[in-house]
Amino acid sequence: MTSRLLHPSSFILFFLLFFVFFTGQAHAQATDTLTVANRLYEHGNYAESSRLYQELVTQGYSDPALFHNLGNAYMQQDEIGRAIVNYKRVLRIDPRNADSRANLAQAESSVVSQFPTAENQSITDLLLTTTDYATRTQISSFALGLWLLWGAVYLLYRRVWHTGFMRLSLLLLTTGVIISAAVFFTITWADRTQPEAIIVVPQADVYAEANNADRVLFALYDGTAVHITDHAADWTNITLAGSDLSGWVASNALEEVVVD
Amino acid sequence: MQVTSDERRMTSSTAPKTSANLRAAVVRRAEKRCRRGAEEETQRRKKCGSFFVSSGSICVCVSVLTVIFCWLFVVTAVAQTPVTVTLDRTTLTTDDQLRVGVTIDGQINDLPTPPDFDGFNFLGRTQSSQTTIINGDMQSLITVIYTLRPVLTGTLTIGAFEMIVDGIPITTEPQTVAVTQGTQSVPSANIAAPSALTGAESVYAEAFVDVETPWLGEQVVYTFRFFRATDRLMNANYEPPEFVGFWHDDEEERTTYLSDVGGREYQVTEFRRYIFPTIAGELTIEPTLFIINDSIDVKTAAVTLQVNPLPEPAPDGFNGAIGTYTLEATLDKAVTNVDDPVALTVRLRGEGNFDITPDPEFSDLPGWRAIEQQSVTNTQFQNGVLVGQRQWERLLIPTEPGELTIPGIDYIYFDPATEQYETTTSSAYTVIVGGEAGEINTPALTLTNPAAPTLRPILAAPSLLEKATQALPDQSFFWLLWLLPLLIVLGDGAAWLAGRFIRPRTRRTQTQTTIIASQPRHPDRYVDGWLEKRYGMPFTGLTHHQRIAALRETGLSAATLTQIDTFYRTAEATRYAGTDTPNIDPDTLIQTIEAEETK
Repeated sequence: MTSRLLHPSSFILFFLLFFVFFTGQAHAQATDTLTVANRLYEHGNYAESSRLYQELVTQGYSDPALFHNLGNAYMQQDEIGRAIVNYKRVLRIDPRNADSRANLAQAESSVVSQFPTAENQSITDLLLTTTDYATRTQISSFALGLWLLWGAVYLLYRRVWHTGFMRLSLLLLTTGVIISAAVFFTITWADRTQPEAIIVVPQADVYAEANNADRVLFALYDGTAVHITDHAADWTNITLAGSDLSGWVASNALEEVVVD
Repeated sequence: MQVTSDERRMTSSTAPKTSANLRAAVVRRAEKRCRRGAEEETQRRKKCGSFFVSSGSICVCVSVLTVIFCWLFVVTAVAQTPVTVTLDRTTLTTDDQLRVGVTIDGQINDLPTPPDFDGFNFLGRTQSSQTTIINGDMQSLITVIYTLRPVLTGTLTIGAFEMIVDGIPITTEPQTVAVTQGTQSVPSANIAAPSALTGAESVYAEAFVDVETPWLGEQVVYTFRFFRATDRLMNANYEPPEFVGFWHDDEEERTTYLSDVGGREYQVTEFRRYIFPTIAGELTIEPTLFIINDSIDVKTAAVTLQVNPLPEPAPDGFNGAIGTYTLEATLDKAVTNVDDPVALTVRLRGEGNFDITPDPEFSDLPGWRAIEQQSVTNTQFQNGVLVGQRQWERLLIPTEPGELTIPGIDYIYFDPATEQYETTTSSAYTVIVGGEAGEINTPALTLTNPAAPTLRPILAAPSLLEKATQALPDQSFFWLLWLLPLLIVLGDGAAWLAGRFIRPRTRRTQTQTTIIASQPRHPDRYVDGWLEKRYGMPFTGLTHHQRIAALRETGLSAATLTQIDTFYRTAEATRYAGTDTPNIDPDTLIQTIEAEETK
């Protein structure tokens, strides 16, 4: 009996079952915690509910409902910035979530620092608007799919069907690949080089240099959206969307939208 | 997560027994089967060499699966207990505070009994309770948050909380946290060491109160301290008094610090209990008993208080509230229509025992129909004083148009500090009510949180909460796939280049092979076809003589004609008599003819 238990197949089966078991248990407990947090929210205990939601986020859970509810809990506590961060996180995962989009619009209307939208939008801004309708993963999958299809059609055109129809298909696919790849690479470039962040403190002073003793250029208020351009110790260099304003703020005054 | 009483009973008692019996039975059966078929099994394993087909292996698998699923059942049942204990952090320093939250989804008579919090100073407790009645179904959710500060480093354990939820005793799982040394030193004594302690004693205990002549219902802090010399190893437990004649709960603040008395170092453990006298007259708090090493008893002295009755006469409307309170009320909108409700939030806050503080009287309002929605209570100790807040929400539905008034609410209490009865009154509101729905546009006014009323509601928890996974564009295979069409194009280009520059060099060599490979099965017909194209006359179907006669007209030499004739005769013999293939290659023959014509 002992030799059977020590058989390699036994170990593999045993570990597989335990892996499935513990993974399932952890996820089920997380769902229970979310349910409890929802109950707390419904009973008006927003501070405790947001604490439980945040705990799940810290554990690595990423779900539109979790971020949406956390955003609501922060909204109820007048923490507009943190609410905006979480609504934006929902829209990163599920761009067509109407509830979060409505709440985000409401939260953004409460932000003190309002900056006018640039009249002449660049082609980059135009490409970035696609994120209102599709996630980065969806766009990248579409671009890759078109590119692979282009490869297949090209091969058929060269080797099998050297026809006008194939030539036209190739032309249309080439156009599609160029556009979708441009959208995808623009989004990726924007995410990598200038990730979006939100001011999450009532007031954040923006300094000319990463130093408290330096002069204050201007102040930003809770909920203002910025783009991160650089880091230095406990300081972050930010720039405002649609303007040339930039400066250094304390890193704990803002929170990145992208979930690591 | 609603769990019925029957399910909870199964969780606490039946389920483990059932699972254990089931597991044992299955294991016994499995072992019996294994013993009985051991020899057959050995033979079978030798034959097939497979682990999974042997019955013994199946027994093992069944046993393992049974154990796992029984465990799964028990753990799942435990996970569905109505009590959740959460920590706001699991690693901290001695400078940090730890918040331990106990959330109870059910009815309880008494708050949870906390563990000893060894290694921590108990800083305070916040309690909030909400009761909602929906369609006659009463739901209760209680959250108690204990604020602690570690005084020791290392791995500290917060023991189990005990409570009775819906009549069923529940014990939570202990929690552990890792504590590292912070920058601040251990808290020092804020009360002078007792004069009776000289330094010669190994242990010493004392007790005292902050107010010896309190008013009825006034907060009294009962402090008891236990001194033990640090040069003696001992184990101490204590039994607090009964507090007869006082309202109290089991919560206590605990502080540990070092004190030097008479040149000897003592570790001092200081306990604080918040009690409220409920009887006027002389009350005695019995001694607190400390038990050293399970054998030696050390007692504090009994403490006597003279409790003053509240002054007479009490004003009308006084319901026994003692402390310092403020009553506030806010309205979500000031303009509405008939049958369009407004929300009135009434909030009582201040210092006092909110567990026994009476509610304000909500009188009927003419022109309004009131629906009580929920009340929320929060209490906590702040700087040695029990403070709190209780909030009520009322939905007021106007039943007639016009300018309707919501009067302020009076709340009368006795303030021990001023020794007088005081009154706090909430704000009054006037609401303009339109005749029918939609007659008046009703903007939201004076809200504490203007965003809240129109906020889209929270989303229901999904059946399974998923963890974040690596996005597709962040995976390496995604980028490798991008290379595939490029490789196709490059391969095609390489093939084209090879056709253009490399193939011509070998074309001459390949021609011979190609021609031979493309020769027809009948060489004579092949040559016939060539001759027909060459001389523009038919050669197919001619006899040997006719063919030679026709070719003689073209001016070919006799030797060539003989060669041609030989080729045709050999080819004919090959086709009809099955002899070897002609020894003259048709292409060689053609080349001979071409060469002669060139001459």
